[in-house]
Amino acid sequence: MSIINQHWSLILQRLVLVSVFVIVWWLASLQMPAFILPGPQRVIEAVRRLFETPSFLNDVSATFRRVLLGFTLAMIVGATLGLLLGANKILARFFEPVLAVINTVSSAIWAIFAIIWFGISDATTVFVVFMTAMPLILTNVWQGVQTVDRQYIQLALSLRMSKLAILRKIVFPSILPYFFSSARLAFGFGWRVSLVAETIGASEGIGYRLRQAADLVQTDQVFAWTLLLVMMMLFIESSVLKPLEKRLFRWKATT
Amino acid sequence: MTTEEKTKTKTLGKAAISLNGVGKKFSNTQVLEGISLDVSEGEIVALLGRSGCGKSTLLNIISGLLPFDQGTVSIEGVISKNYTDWHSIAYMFQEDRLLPWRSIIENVCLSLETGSSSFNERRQRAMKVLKIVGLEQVAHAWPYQLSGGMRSRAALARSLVINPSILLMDEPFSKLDPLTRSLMHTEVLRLQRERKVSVLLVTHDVEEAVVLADRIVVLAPSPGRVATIEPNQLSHPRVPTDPLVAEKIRQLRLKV
Ligand SMILES: Nc1ncnc2c1ncn2[C@@H]1O[C@H](COP(=O)(O)OP(=O)(O)OP(=O)(O)O)[C@@H](O)[C@H]1O
Ligand SMILES: [Mg+2]
Repeated sequence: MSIINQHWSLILQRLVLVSVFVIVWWLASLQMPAFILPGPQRVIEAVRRLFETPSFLNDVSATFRRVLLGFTLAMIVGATLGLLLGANKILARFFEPVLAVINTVSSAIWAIFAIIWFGISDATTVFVVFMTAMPLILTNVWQGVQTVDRQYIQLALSLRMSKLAILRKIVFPSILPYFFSSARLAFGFGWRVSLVAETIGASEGIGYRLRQAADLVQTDQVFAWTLLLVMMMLFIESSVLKPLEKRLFRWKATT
Repeated sequence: MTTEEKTKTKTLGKAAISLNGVGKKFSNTQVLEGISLDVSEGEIVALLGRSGCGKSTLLNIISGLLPFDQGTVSIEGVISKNYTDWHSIAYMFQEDRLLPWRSIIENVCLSLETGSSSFNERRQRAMKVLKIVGLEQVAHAWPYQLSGGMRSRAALARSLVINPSILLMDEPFSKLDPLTRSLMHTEVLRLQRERKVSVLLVTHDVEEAVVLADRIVVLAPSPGRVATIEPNQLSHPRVPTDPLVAEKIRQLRLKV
């Protein structure tokens, strides 16, 4: 009973939050010219027009394709390198500075390098997503390997498990929470930087359209894309990531 | 070896575990020194001693998990580094070490996954042992949902499921209530009687040692060494209220 009540009260709170936001937005838009702050109706109208644009699906899928490709590569490379560095202290000490350097270079700089190296192509965005996401995953997996409980390894050794079996049955499950949370973070970052990369290094995609709209001072279009992006991220979070997390980590005590 | 000698050793029972002058150093402290000790086939030996005197270290050495510095360890008559049949040795650690991401039955199955049995076979065997330790109701629960005593029984099931011929146990029953504990004692004695399992059992409980063991080894601390070996030939079942058993317990308490 109280859980159901809590549920409804949360929904109510969210509704209040959204309404307040829309009202403030609307009031503010009355005070300003539309090219600085378009009102809610104008933006909704722009979203509708976006859906009707023939290139709309093409732009969205181009961005998704690049983000997913960069992110998948980052997961594979990041997890493999993280495991290697976690397994080998000498290797880890040797490469640690490289990681520090990569981590301090901003995504904008990667984007500029990417333009120089790959020009206007998919590779530019993929590269930027990769360079942003990969170190995050690598660092977390590496850290995860170091926290694998030695008692479990000893248990596996007492059962005379092979190295491969230990990796599969003890190490992987132990680092999965680290991998998952870093992948989630990396996906969020990768997604955001992909737009930065697309504004300068693409001829289609959401980032490219955003810049086009900005250049033409179509502020309502910029708002429309932003609204869509937020919606898409919320959708992915609630329909993929949350359920996946629940399913993968159902063995964890819920306090 | 003459035929006469052969029969003699046979009647005495071949040593399942044989330690000869085993010593172990951790960095510069001698933790174990000159440990000589045999566990015969089908014998239960209890290991008593103060906290930190090296009991777990000794079990780690016997199970082949920890290298040691002096002496020799033989298992079933074979020097331990040449020994191959490790799958017939079960080691129940001091901690339950249940993998949190596996359900109870999956944890028990872990012991069988190095063998060639099929998934269904493993499940069936696991379920059978879970029944023996009284956990069939929670077979599909996650470890975090179990009490400490239930967890240690799950760990016991994981050790028993391989049908070991040698059982190393480190304070296996310390978290159980008296009733469950005596049920588990009965189970260990049944394994000894019916399947000739050799058991080396670490405990802090003198009563438990007297109820279960055929011989009781008391370790002295720093460095860990054998202080006394106390034979125990009282007839089963041994009830602590029985005057003979009570006397044995009293005597032994003085030596620990
Ligand atoms: N990996 C290790 N490195 C260094 N010292 C260790 C290590 N493992 C154990 N020791 C030391 O060896 C000694 C014996 O430890 P051990 O765990 O074998 O004791 P124990 O008899 O099992 O004690 P308890 O009854 O508390 O379980 C202790 O002094 C401990 O500090
Ligand atoms: Mg111990």
